[in-house]
Amino acid sequence: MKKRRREKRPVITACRIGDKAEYSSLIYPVCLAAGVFSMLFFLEAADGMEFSSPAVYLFSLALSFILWLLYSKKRRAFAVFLAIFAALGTIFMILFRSELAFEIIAIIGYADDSTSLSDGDFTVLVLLLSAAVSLIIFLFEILLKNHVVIYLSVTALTFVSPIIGARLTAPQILLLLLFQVIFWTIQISERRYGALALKEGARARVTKKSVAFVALAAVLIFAVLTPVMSQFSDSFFGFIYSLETAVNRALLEASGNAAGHVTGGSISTGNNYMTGTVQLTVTADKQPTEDIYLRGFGGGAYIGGNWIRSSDEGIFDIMIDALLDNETFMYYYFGTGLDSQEYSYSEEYGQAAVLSIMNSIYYSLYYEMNGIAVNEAEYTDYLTGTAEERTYLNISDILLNVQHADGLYDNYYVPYYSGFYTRLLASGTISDILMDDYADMPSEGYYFLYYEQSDMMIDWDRMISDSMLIYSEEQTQMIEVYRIVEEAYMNVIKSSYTSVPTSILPRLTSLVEENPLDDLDEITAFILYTLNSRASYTKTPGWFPVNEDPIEYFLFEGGKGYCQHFACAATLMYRLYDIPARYATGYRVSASDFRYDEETGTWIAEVTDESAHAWVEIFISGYGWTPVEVTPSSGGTMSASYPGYDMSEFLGIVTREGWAMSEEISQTASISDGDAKSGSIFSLDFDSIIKNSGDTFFVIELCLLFAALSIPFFIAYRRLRVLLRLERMSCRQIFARYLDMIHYCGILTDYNGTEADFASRLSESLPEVSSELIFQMSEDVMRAAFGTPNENVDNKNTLSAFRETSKLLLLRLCGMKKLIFMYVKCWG
Amino acid sequence: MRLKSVLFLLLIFLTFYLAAMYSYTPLLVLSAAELIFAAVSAVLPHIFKRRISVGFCKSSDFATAGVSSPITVNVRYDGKLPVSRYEITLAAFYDGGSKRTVKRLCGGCENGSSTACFTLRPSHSGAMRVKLKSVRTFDYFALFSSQRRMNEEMYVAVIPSDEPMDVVIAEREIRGNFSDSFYNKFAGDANEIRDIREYRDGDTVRRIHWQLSSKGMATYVKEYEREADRAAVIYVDIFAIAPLTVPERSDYYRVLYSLLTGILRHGVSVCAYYVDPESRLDISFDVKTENDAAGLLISIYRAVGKAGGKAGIPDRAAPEDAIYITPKLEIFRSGERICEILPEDFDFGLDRVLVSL
Repeated sequence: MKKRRREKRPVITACRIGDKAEYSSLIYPVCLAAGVFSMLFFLEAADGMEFSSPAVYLFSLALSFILWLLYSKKRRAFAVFLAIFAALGTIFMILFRSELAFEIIAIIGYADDSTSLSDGDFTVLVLLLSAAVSLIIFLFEILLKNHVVIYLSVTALTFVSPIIGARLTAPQILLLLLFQVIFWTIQISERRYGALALKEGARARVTKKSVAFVALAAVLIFAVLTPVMSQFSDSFFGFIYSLETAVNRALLEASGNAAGHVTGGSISTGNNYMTGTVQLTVTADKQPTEDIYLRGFGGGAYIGGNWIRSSDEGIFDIMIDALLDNETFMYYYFGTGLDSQEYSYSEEYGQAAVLSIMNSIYYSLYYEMNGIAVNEAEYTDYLTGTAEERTYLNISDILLNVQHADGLYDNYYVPYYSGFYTRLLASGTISDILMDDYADMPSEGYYFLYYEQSDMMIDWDRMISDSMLIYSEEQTQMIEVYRIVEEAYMNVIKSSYTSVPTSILPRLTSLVEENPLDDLDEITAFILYTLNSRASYTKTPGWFPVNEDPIEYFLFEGGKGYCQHFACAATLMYRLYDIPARYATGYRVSASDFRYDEETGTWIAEVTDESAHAWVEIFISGYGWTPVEVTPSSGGTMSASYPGYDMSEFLGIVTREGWAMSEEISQTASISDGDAKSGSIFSLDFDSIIKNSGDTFFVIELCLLFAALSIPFFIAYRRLRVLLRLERMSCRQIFARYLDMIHYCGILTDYNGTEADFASRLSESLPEVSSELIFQMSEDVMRAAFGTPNENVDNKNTLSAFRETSKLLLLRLCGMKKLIFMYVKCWG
Repeated sequence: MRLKSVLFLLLIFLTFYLAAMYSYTPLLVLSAAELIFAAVSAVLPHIFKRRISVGFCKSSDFATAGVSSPITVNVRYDGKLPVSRYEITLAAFYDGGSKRTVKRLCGGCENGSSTACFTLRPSHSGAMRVKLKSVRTFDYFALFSSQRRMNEEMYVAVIPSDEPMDVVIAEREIRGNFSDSFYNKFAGDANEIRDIREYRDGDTVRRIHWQLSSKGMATYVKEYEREADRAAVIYVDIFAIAPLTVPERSDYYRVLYSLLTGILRHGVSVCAYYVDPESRLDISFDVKTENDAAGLLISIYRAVGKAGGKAGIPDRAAPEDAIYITPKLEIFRSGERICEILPEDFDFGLDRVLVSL
């Protein structure tokens, strides 16, 4: 029985495409070099990476051309060249091994601890890298015909470079773009898999034309977009910020973290997103007249973008020795008479005892002292003034209640100049101290009694001198003791809160060293001036590079930031000037945020994350840690002040020192705040265009240079088009060109083609051309010109005659005439 | 939208995002340039599609079974910008076959007419069709494309490869019992030299053209219009072939062609006839050369195509003296089985088969 045979499918296959003329075009080595240059640009943009650019770029260019030349023309020599090149590379590495080792170690060290690269020369390493990159690009683009790997690699580098602070300029980006699009176009056009066989040279022509179009489009688009984007970049960036804000807000609200209160000392390296969610509820028994700074975090040590929470316990430990030696202090707390010598203690007992009371002494020091000072003032006024002259009667402390919206009390937000009362007990009852007078205050959260800064009037000298007259003996002792505590504290913080890691802040350190100042007011003025002139306020400064300290970047490169950056920079500058300063975060509750609640008779403010704030605090005798507002408002105006200092003082110092304040920066508004920049979005500020368009002109120059280099390609392209158009012309049109051509070459210049002996004379002048063809052409032209109107005369003979004649005449010509014949007239 | 274009758009957005995050204007320009490229790339394929036309250069062609034959398509493009990539979808199938090959081939073109070529290698003999189903044009980065459906078809007659059977013909009249009217209808003039060709194995010595052969380097023989005393008759039953599968038909054609060429080697012409399934008329075909044999096969392909794969009974029986090949590949003459082609014969080659006529 015969086996049933199965039907086999017919097979359709592509034809093989020859390789011969595929790489003959100069596009390939130029694009290869562009690709290598693009990679080298990234190296050049890296901070501290110095190398001999001319040597490296020339070497890369030469290598690209040699690789292309050998591969396209002499394939056998290419393999030999690779072997020789590998050997030479090995010898090179051996000869320069010590330099290479040094350079590699320097880079590894930079990658490990992000310290900047030392000012060394990396030419040897970069030469090797450029050779490797050239070979890799050649391998992928020419041999493997795979652009995807290189495209993704270059794209990844483009994305990573701003993250590490390496920024390419516009011309470099343009070259990178050209490399990407040209090779992409080439690989698509030259795709061999499943390709139809075309006539010889057709694929190469299509590739060249496609590349020419794409390259020209890239250059033109880039040249037009650069000035436009430079002018309207903020608007485009603002769109992304708005989008990111909306997404971030939605994520925070969806995850339930929107109500979480602010904590921590990490300096943000990105944008600031607010949700407007209530995080605290602050209730006051009286209407505050000043902004309330509720401090939740105080920064002690600064470690590259992060503040470690300050702890006074260590300071108290150091203070103990001084306090234990102070008789007045010891007598006040442990003795019965100053000269009775009845107190005795063991050292250990003394230290523990002092430590246990330090918190209550220190943290209520200014509140208690101010209370005494207020009483003194009132009493003095009572004694000396009339009822109308009594101006201190309105001074009183304010009871403040703070409740956390999320119900978590892992951190307290403390107002300045306050005494602290215990948090609400679990039973939910208000402390007995408050019960009677403050029954309408909330029964949850925690309380403070505090004085506003303008009500602080501690004057140690006056108080001590008046003490015997006004105060009781105990009060007098207390004033003295509190003063001793303050002095001991001030002595210790001079070293604790003035340390700065100068190794990671070289530029800031240099700035302070170049401007030595001693006076606190002058230092404050200089800090404000520096911040004003170098930075502007915005909630959307973008991302900071990861390999740089955020404050260094903020002050010396980015120039944009918000409260965290301003406060951190000010803190570090104070410390560099040996002024004890702390970075503080928490909330700034504006006095205008409080609303009167008629039911309870209290003033209530709902504090959202938009009130979260950062500031710097400096230590002032009689006030303790005092906040200094160094962040400009969204309108760019500054309003820094502390007791004895305000903006008029600042302006006086600025004038005296002759510092120039930048109006633009002072008037800069953040984009997310919606404040408009000077000038509408649709108006063109030519001054700023020209000022910001240094790159643009360079790009335009580069475009013109590229256009000039592309002229030969365009001329060749035009020639091809004209020659192709010839096929579609009629007999008479071709003949007209034919006449022009022979006249140009000085043949039968006095003939116009209609003469009876034209064909014979022409045949004599051009013996190499077939006389039969000439006669046939002549006949066809005559028939076309004088024959029946509708007769369609084939142009085949005329075209053949034209081509043969042009080939012959081309051989006869030389020099400029030949070039004109070929590229201007496009006859052959 | 293809995955590649989606990824490219995502990359553009990522570039834009990073440019905004780092306030990096050159990167913003790059992303805008890429966006413009993407927009232009989305439009270009549609423009190219309108201006390109692809078609077969011929509406029908020949091919040899088992041999790759080039097929050309004509591409005409009227636009100014070159098309760096277009893709044509081809489908090839046998008439009456169940399997079809679909292949996509790509090419590029510039303004004007051009031809592109691919190869077709049919495994079976018979009638085949190659269909141009669609042409798809791409932008320069192959991110977007636009397709135009087509329905152009090319008929390909696949002739079996040349493997003439070893035919032994007795030196006697093999005219048989055919009537004069039959011969008058189907035969030509025996005295007229029709052609002079090179000597082939099997040619009889008396036909050698001595005058010509003495002059040149080769031996030539004469071919006459009618070899009245040297003609074979083959009857082809279309109705028996029609219901066969493609491989079976292919085998049949192969045997038929091999037999024909084997007979022709002896200088014997063949008169083949079959009944047209539509008109029911007798169709005769003189086969004097290999080209005629191919022509006969093509006629048979068409007739089988008309039969539509249905079996049928011819109106009249085959002549007694005719050579007849059954669908089971048995060769009969005068009602007697003279040869059976076995599967292994196809493997070793039909030129090893010996047939005595």
